[in-house]
Amino acid sequence: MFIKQLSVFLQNEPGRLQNVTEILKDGGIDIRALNVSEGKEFGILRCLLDDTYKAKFLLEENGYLCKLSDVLAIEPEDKIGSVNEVLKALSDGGINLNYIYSTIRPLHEEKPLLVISTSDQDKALEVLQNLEIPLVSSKEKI
Amino acid sequence: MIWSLNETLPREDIEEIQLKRLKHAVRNAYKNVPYYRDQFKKLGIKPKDIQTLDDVRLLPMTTKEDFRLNYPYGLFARDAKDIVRYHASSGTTGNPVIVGYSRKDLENWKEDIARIVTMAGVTKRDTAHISFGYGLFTGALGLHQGLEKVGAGVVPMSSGNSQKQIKMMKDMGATVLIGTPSYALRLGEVAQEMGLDPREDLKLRVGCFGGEGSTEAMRNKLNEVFGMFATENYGLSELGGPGVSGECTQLTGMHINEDHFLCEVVDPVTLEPLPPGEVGELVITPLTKDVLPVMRYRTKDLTSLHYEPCACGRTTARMSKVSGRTDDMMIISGVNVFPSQIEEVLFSTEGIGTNYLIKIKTENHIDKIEIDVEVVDNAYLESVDALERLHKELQTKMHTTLGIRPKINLVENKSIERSEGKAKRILDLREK
Repeated sequence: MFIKQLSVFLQNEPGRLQNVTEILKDGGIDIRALNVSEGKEFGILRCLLDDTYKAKFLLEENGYLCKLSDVLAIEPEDKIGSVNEVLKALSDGGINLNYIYSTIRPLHEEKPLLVISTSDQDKALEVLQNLEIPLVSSKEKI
Repeated sequence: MIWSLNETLPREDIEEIQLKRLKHAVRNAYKNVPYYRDQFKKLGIKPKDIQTLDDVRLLPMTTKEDFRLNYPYGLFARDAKDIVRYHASSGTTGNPVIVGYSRKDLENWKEDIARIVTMAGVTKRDTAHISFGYGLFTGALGLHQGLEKVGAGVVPMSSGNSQKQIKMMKDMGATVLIGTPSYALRLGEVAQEMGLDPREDLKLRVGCFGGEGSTEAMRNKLNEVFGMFATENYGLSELGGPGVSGECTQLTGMHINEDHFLCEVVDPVTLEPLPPGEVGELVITPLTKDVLPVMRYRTKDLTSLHYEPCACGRTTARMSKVSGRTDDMMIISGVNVFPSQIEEVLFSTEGIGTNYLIKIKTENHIDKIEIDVEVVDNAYLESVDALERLHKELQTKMHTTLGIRPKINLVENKSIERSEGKAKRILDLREK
C-alpha cells in the first residue's frame, strides 16, 4: 500500500532546486507532489513523480544523491475536518509524524492527496486502513 | 624480498659509504657548478673541510628559489654531451625546475625505484598499471623504468580517460596500481559508476602511491575500495623524482635509500638539526648525482627520522609519513592548520566522500576557513535531522582536531572538481 517517494539532497543556494526541475522537465517527467525540508545550508527535496525510477536514474546520472522511500498517500474529501480525521487516527495510535505534504493536483476529482511519513509506517498503514478514507495503492498510476 | 644488499648494511658501513660519497658530491658541486663555488666562498669553506657526516651542516642549503634563479641549467654540473634525459617539475607559477640525468644518474634512479617497488611487495610476476601522467613529470617514467628493472609488466597508461583506465586494468588483469592516491580514489569511484566492484572485478593487489602527501585514513580507504595493500613512496623533482624512500610491508615509515640520499631533519625556523624522532623540515643531499649535485635541499616537507632496525630486515633509516609542508601550513586566527589534519577527520567520518575543498577567506579582516565536503550516503536523506547531525559531528571533530572552528559546507555529491593528477585541495581567497 506504500508508494515510492524520491528524496534528493540539495544545497540551499539559488538555482539548486530549479536545476533538478530542469532535469525532470528534460526527461518529460511530471511532478505530482513536491516538498522541501530545509536546514540552514542544505535541504532535502521530496517528491512524487509519474516516473520515479526514470527520475532517479536521470538525477543520479547528473551526480545527485537520491533515495527512494515508502510513504503513505491518502485521499481525504476536500471538506472541513477531513485532515483532522486522518491526523487524529495517527495520534490516537501513538504514531509520530515525520512530515506531511500534499499533491499539486488531485488524483481523482475533488480529492487532494496527502503524503505521509511517520515513525512507524506499518502501524500507520494499519490505522489508516481502518478509516473510510481511500489509500492510494502502489499499483495506481499517480 | 629485499632488492639490494645495500639496504641491510650495519649502520657504520652505511655511514662509511655516505661519507665517501658526500665528499665526492661536494667536490663535484665545487668543481663544476659556479653557483656552488660562490656559495662555498661566501661561507669560507672548501671541499676538504668535509671530514665527517656531521660536517654536512657546514654546506650551503639549496631551495626551490635557487633552482628558479639558476633557471634552466645553472645548477648543472655536466653539459649536454653527458646528459641523456631531461624532466621538469609541474611549476604552477613561473619557470619549472629542469632536471637532467646522465646515463649513470638514470641507472641509480632505476635501482632506487626497483628497491622501493620490491619493498612494497611487487615482483616480476606482477602487471603494473601506471596512471601518472607521462611527459616532463618524473613520476611516470621514474616508476616505469624501476618496475621494468624488477621485471614487472608495465602498462604505461598515463593519466586521464578514467573509464578507459578501468577497462585496461580489468582486461589486462593489472595487479599493481601506480599513481597519486587521490586519482586512485577517483578511479575507484569511476569503476563503481561503471557498475563494477573494484574488489572483485579488478585484480589489484598492491598500490604504490606518491606525487602528493596522503594520510593513514586515505590508505585505509584505498585498501577498502580496491581490496589492495596500499603503500606510499617519496621523492622530489629537484632530486630527480621518486626514489628517495618508500614503505615496506611492515608500514613502519618510508625506508630511505641512504646510500644515495643523506637526510637531515632541521627546525624550519632556526635550521638547527633535530634529534631522531622529532618532527621538522626534511633536508636532503643527494650523494650520487652526476648532473645535479644539489647541496642540502630544503624539501619544505615535515617529517621525522627513525633509525631502529625494521622487522623487514632492512637497516636503512625510515622517514615518517609527511605530516605537512612548511608552505601549505595555513595560519588561521593564529593557529597552525595542516590540510592533512582536515583529511584525517573527513576520512574517518561515515557518509562523506573522499573529495574536499578548503577555502580560506577574509571576513572583517579575520581569516575564516570553510570546508566543502560531499554527502555520498543516501541514508542521510531520511531527514534533515540526520544531515544536521552529520554536520554537527564534523564541526565538533574539526574543532577537537584543529583547535579552530571551520565552517563545514555539506555539498552535493560530485560537485567538487575532480583532478587527474595532484588534487587541488586549497583555495586561498584571502585579500593579499
